[in-house]
Amino acid sequence: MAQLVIIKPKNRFRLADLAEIWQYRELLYFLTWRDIKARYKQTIVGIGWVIFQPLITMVIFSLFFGKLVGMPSENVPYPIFVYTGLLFWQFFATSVNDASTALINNMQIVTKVYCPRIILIMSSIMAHLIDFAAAAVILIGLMLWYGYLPSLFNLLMVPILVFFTFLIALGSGLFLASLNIKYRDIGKILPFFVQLFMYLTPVIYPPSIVGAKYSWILALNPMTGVIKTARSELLHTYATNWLQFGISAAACLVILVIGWLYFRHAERYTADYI
Amino acid sequence: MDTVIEVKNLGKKYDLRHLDLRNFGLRERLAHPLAWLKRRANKKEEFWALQDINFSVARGEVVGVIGRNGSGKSTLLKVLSRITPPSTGEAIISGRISSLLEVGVGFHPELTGRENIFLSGVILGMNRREIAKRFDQIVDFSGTEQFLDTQVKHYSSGMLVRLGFAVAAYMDADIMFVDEVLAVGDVEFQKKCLAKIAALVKEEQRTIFFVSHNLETVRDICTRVVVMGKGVIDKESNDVGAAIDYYLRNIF
Repeated sequence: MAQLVIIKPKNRFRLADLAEIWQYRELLYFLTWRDIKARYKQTIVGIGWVIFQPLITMVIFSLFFGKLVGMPSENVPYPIFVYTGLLFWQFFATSVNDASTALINNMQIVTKVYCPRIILIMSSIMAHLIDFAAAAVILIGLMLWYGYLPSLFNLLMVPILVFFTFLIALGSGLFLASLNIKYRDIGKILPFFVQLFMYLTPVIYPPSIVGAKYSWILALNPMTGVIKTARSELLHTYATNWLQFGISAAACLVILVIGWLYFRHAERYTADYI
Repeated sequence: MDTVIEVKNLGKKYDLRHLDLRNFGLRERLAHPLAWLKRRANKKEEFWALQDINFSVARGEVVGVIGRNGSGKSTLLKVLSRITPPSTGEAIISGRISSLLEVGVGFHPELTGRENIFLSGVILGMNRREIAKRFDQIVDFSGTEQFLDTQVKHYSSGMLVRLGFAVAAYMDADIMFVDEVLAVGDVEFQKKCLAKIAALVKEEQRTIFFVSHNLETVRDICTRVVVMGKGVIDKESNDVGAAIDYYLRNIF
């Protein structure tokens, strides 16, 4: 019962910080719930908008890149090819955009009450899991339509890939949200850069068109690993390239560590600067 | 004596130069590199919002912190509430902390009163079970029963303050840090809040650390007074009347 709180000038890493995230799990749950609930209040279509966006994007991309350009799509129909990519990409893109403004948007909480602030960033990402789940329904429909039946092992890879995407978004989000404390430019320009970044990720094209010589550059982008693996597991485009997945996983870890270290550094002045 | 707050050599430094440089964007840096370097080199603009703060508080004490604007009262509360870390020294607090630096922290305008009680409660550090247990009392105290399922954006400001205070007051805490939050409600509600605070001290041996400009309130409920001036403790006394007189003498 008796807790001991020691307040000192911010010090080095303590394991207690990680345990604290677990202690505050109900806060994570409630903030996620708040974000989801508040997002669709006073809308008619509500969560339906979540399906609408990737669906229309998929139709347009299929029309332009699939039909008109004749983009190769690893021997699977282009619509399901691009939708698999879009599904994971949108989860990542919306998460990073929201995570980067999570501290600023919760300024009142940051400046008036104590809580592990990483929770604010985590919850802004978790709130998009529900969007992912809703949009995944379309993928299931496409898979049934085109007759792709994944095995149990294939399906087990999906939560792992979602978790990976979560970690990549968390690492980037921690870094960008902390940077946003000092430089509000981040919030203004980030959505544009995230959009650009999609073209550096094999969402609308297969990585093969880049050529073997430069494929390692793509692999350094951890979202490449996620999307490629999702396609090979669910659509059986080819055997999963575990080496490339490993490179992406390592890149993900690097992003997470850098993001977290910078976040901890910035935490010393977060409440004063914001 | 059972010490619950122990503060040693606590200090908080703000770097004004740093804050100033924040306005020096990239464009200005490139346009006026010399001015920027000059400003960066100027190391003297440090500001100690708190310096050499030492005190300890025993269980069940009600400590009132008074002082002029800018004397460091709120900064002290922010450091003790772990919102911003100190630059020097340390503070050891034993017990569960509830900070009431602003009423209704975390309220979301689009959510209903009921939903916001849970949201705000969890943000303050309670868990769902505790809130559910105290729910009726919170509603009762705030007098918002009729509007529980209305979005709080339709609430009057008075209702919001009442609900916000009720959530924080019913949190099961050992130590409560309270900033000048009661000033916002009407007189009757202020009285009700003060009575609640007094009851908490008496029944639960709760320790209250209280910042206020309202000297009458301080005289009424505090057992000890800390007078702050320019980031240091000017005077600290168990004789509440004498400390207030000291403060008043030095103000004019």
